[in-house]
Amino acid sequence: MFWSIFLETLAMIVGVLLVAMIVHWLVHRDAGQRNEDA
Amino acid sequence: MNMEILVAVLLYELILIGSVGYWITRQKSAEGHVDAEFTLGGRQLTVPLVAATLALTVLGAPHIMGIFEMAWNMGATALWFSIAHVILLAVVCLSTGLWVRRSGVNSVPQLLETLYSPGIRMLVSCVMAGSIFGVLTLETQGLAILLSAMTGWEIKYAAIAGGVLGVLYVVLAGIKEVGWINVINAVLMYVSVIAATIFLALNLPGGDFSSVADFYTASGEEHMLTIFGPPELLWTFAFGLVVALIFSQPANQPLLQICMSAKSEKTIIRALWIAAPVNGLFGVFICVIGLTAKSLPEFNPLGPKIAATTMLVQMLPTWLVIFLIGSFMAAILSSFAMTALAPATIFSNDIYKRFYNPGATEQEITKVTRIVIAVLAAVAILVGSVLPTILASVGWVLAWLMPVLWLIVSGLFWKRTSAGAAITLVTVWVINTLWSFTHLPDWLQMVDVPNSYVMLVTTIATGTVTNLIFAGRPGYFTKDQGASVATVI
Repeated sequence: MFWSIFLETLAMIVGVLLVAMIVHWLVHRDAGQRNEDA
Repeated sequence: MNMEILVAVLLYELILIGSVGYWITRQKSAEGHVDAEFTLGGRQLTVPLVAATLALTVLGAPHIMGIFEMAWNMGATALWFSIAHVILLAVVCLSTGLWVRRSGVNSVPQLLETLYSPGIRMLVSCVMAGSIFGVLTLETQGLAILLSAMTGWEIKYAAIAGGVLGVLYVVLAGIKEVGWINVINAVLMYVSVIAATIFLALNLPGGDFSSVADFYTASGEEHMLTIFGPPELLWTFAFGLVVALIFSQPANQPLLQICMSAKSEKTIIRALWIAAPVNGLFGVFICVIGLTAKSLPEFNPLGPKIAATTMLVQMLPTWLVIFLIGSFMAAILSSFAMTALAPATIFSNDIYKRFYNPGATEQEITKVTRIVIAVLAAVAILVGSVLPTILASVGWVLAWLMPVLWLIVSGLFWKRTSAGAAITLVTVWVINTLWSFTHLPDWLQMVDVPNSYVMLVTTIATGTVTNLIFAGRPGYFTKDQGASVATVI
C-alpha cells in the first residue's frame, strides 16, 4: 500500500516537473529566437 | 512522559535556532554591511537554502493536521493537496520567481509601483500584508493544536511557546537564518518521518501495511488507496485546489521573497528540482499514517482529528515521538517564520521607507522589520490561542491575491494602466468579500461553485476589459527586456 501511493505521487511530481521544464524551455527558445531575428 | 516530550522538543528547537542564529550573526559581523542582508540575505542564498526554504514555506500545519484529517475522509486523493503545492512551486520557480529576481525589487508591492503607480503599491501592500497575516494566525493555531494534542499542554501556553520559537526562527538573522535552519530541519523531518513509518509498519500484523490495505479492500473502499480517487472528488477537490493556489500564490510575498534572495535565476531553477520532491513526498508519509490510524480498531473511534496523533504517541518509542513532533514543529515553524518576515518586509520597505523615511539606513530597516515581526507574532498568538475557525476563510484569503498576479503578468507582458489596475483590484476584492460573507451565491444558485473559480473569471474579465478600455503603457518586459526596475525604492 505504501509503495503504490508513494510511486503514484512520485510519478505525478516528476511529470509536473518535466512538463514545466519543457514549457519553460520552449518559451525561452522562442524568446531567444525572436531576439536573434531582431 | 508528555512533559518529557514537550521539554525535549522545545529544547531541540531552541538550541538549533539559537546556535544557527548566533553563527550567522557572527559571520555577518565579520563580513560587514551588505545591502538588504536581513530581509534578502544580500541576494546571495545558494541552491540548498533556497530549495529548503521554498519547500518548507509552503509545508505547514495544513500539510500535517490537514492531510491526517483529509486522508481519513478521502484517502490518498488527499495527496492532491501536496501535488497542488508542487505545481505552485514549479510555476513560481519558472515564472514569477525569475521575474522578481531579474527585476531586482525587494518586495511585490515595489514591483507594482514600477509597473503602475505609488497608489497601487500602497493598496497592494496593505492587502497583501493582511492576507499573509491571516495565514500566520492559521500557522500559529496549527502549532498550538499540534503541541497541545501530542503533549496535553493547554492551547494558550502551546501557542505562546510556538509563537516565541517562530519569532526566534527569523528575528536573529533574517532570511539567511531561516534558510540554514530549514536545511537542517528538512533532513530531520525526513529521517524522523521515514523512521516513524517503518516502526509503524513493523508494529502492524505481518510487519507491513498489508493489513491496512486489507481493511479498505474489505470495506469496499479501494479508492482510498490510490491518489486517483473518485472523478467528482478529483474535479471539485484536486482541480479546485490547483486553481486556487496557482492563480493567487505565485504573486505572494513569502515565496517571491525567497526567489528575490537567490544568488541568480539559475539558483531558483535548480532549487525547484529539490524543493518539489521534498515538499510533495512528505505528504505521502502523513497520508499513510492517517490511513493506518483509521484502520486500527483501537484508534478508529477517536475520529479524524486526533486518531493519528494519538496513535503515533502510543505506538512509537518516546525518542522517536520527540523527533517526530520536533520535525512537525519544524515544518510549521518554518512557514510561521516566512509568513512573519514577509509582511514585516512589506511594512519596512513599502510603507516605512517608501512613505515615512526614504533615507532609512539598512540598520533602521532591519530594526523596524524585527519590531514588526514581534508585533505580528504577538497578535497572531492572541488570535490563534482562542481557536477561531480560520480554515474556513482560507479560500477568501487566497483569492485576494488573484488580481495581484494578474497585474504582474499584464504589467510585465501586456499593458500597464493604473486606473484599470485599481478598478480590477477593487472589483475582485469587493466581489470576493460579498461571495464569501453574504447570500450572493444562494441568490445566483451557484453555491457549489468554488470561490476560486468565480474570482479567477472575475479577475480575467475585469482585467481584460479595463486593459482594452483605458490607455496605458506597454508591458515592462515587452518594452525593455531584462532591465532592472529597482530604481524605484
